[in-house]
Amino acid sequence: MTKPPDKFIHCITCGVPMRDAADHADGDLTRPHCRGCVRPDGSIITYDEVCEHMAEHLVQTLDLHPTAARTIAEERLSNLPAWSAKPPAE
Amino acid sequence: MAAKTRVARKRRTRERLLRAARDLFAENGILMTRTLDISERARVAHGTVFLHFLTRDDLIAAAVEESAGQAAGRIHMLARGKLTVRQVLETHVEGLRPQEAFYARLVMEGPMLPPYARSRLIVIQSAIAVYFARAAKREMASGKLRRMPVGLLFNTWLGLLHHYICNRDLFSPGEAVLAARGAALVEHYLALIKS
Repeated sequence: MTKPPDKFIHCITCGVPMRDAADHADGDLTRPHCRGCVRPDGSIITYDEVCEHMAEHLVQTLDLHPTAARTIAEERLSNLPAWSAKPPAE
Repeated sequence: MAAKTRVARKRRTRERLLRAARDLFAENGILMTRTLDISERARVAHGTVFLHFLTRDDLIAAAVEESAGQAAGRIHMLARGKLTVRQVLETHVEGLRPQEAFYARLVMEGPMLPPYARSRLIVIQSAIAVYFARAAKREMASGKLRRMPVGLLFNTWLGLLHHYICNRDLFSPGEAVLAARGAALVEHYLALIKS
């Protein structure tokens, strides 16, 4: 079995671990965002979009109630670099 | 050179604190462990804890991140290829083995943990559930598995796994339960869900 690295680089917007260039936006290792957090026009998705996506994901994968899933997602996002320094704004 | 030495020393101290925290959390429980106990176990001054972690909750969250994240990390490393349900489950068990006692505390004290630490644990479980869901959907489509909602299916696995981990003194006294029973749990679960 492949030994995992001690640390993964995490997307600053959604927290997803990024293993190699293919996981980074534009396949660029210097980009701190994952490919899922950047739109085709290059803009970064909004806080609400990330939060909604994460909550929906928690509902589907762990069968959480949508309200609980939203709370968990907000809690997680509050500690990610993209959102921790300032209140979410559209 | 001096700066590099300082950075290395700081990193080692942080690792020592995290190791001491994990050990004490596993032995005495997360909520029962004081930062003073952790500093004494790590052999540093009490104030040093707060040079590395702003609050006790931050220290707990970091311990969750490092420990529970190992299982997700293992699966993530393998995930370029298409994993089978069996591979996801075996990797999950393997990833939890080194931290079994601490993970048991996380599960038992989960609802009482600081919100951020609890959210990290749940998001990490969700990361594992993603790979499980992908594999399960493929195997349902090919007729290998019974068709069931994947969220419930994963929670059924977690229920089984957590029951054995939390009551490991009953299932394998004096021995790590995942080493003793992990393979049997995977086989049993796979037998239950196959079509």
